[in-house]
Amino acid sequence: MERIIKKSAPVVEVKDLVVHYETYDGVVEAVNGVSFSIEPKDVLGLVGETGAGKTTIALSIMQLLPMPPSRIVQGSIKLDGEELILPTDAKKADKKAMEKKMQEHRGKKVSMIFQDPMTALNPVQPIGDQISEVIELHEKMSKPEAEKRACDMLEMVGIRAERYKDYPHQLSGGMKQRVVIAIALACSPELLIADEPTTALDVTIQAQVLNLMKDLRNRFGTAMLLITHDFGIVADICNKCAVTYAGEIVEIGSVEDIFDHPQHPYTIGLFDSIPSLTKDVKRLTPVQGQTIDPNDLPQYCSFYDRCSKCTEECKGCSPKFVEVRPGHLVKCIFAHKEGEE
Amino acid sequence: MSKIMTPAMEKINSRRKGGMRGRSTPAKDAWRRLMRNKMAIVGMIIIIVLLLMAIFAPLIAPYGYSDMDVINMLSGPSKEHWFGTDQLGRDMLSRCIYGARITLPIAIFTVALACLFGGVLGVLCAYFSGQFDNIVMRILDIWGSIPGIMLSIAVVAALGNNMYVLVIGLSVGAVPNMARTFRGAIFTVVDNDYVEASRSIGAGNFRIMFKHLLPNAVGPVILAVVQLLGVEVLCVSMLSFLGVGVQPPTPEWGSLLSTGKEFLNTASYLCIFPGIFIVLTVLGFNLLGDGLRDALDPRLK
Repeated sequence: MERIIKKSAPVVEVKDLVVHYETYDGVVEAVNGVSFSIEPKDVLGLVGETGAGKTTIALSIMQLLPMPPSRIVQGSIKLDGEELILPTDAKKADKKAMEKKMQEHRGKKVSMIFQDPMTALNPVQPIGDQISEVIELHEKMSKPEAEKRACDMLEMVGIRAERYKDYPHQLSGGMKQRVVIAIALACSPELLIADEPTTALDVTIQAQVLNLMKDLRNRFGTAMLLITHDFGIVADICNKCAVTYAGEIVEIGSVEDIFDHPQHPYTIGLFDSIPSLTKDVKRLTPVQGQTIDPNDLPQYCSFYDRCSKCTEECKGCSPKFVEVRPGHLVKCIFAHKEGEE
Repeated sequence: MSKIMTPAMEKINSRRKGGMRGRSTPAKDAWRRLMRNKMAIVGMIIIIVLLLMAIFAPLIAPYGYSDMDVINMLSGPSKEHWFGTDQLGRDMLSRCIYGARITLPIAIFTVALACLFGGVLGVLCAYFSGQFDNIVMRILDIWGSIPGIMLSIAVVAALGNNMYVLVIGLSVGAVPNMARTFRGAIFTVVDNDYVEASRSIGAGNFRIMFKHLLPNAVGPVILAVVQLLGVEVLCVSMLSFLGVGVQPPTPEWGSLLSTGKEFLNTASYLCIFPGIFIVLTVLGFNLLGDGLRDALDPRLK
């Protein structure tokens, strides 16, 4: 099952993505100009509070956003070099063709692990059949072959193949999540999107699932986009990290950059609100205030209201990315290049 | 990695079934609950007996359904003729038994047809929702506002009188209700995460609708189907009684009633026995339907 990596071109390249939810109460600006790319074997952790647009980003890559109410206003998503976003005035036939192509890609080129394994499996279908379904959909295989492959997948995620005919309600939460992972990986996709894969699980099972994902990355070189709000998980399995706030990436860089030299006040605030094993802190400092209402974002820095370092200068313009170190970008006017003051 | 093939797995599973750990599936759980309900079992037995009677009618019936015993015309129940004979000396027991062969298949095919069309419409409406749903459901509302029995009579009157037309006519009246049932059932499951999950593995609309949604929504649908069967038995008999359904020489229960009503004063058994069969059939389906409703109720799980 060795994959040949043809090129080190990014598996997915998101550029300047803007997604709005157009509801009766107004336009919700869920994603505002997000750009990132993931190369093969990369694991990008997407961190942020609830409502920061993380899941929306994931669903736009999958092209599974419910439209309406959502609308991709601008931007480009390139999956394996192939543009997924059609211009708004694209012909209906083109859109249909795109949707058909996407249907082939889903599960094959890019697949997704959902947040809640309890509801992501069909309750009236044996788990093995749910795994073999994706194989039958994408690989030219006979039914027995697909079933055998499904058994192998079950064994790979640590579930005995005899449980092929079990129904989801007969499995524990962790096992269900492993089945979900088996489904996602059954056709060895190039990109795996994991939307808070461990949030619904308890810590011991979290460790199992994370180890499984790490193992898979090492064995198959699958690129991953890991959505989480847990820096512990990011430190554990990611090599790149992006911090999102109000639909924007405010800081992006390698895990070392972000963890050792956080620059953006929001990132620093997030780290201050995590208990540390090494430092003796009496009281954790949360980031002040509430997440900004995405219905009504300001023209200037959207973190202004909660920022501890903000000045009048911040209200002047919206901040641009500053490259503080190669590959480490920060969206704050106070960020400065290393070595400069 | 073990290389276990499906037959081997099945063997393991069947061995486990007898073992300590009972493999429970949603269907098996429902079956077990159904078996706990005495009235449902009674209903099921009635239905099974009637079906067997229909299938093996020539073996069970003591006489042919059109054999005339000219000496014993309009004779009451006796040792030779348990249910008596009609005005032409035909054995009523045989005619009632053969009647099951006419009434039950018509009812079953009617429900099957109504399920097919109503089901497809309902599933499509619930899945695509929005404008499509709105238009189709409004048309069905208009359709459903015409009494079903009148629609059936109109269809039979227009297309002539035979069993196939009768099936079509009756199902025409049942489609709107069936569509509504399917639509409602699918609506309850269409927002589940596994729908999006199956979309994320590249499943198409058709596969999601009929492989993922329908099996999950099957509970209320089974219930509606069983209850509709009872209703359709009544409708078949009603149309025949009115003279637009199955025509007299054929021993349909409703048409037996219709011929019998002329002798209501002198030979009331001619109406009572076919009537009992109709009542039993409807009762059987209703008891089974009630039992299924309890067994499939998700709140009991």
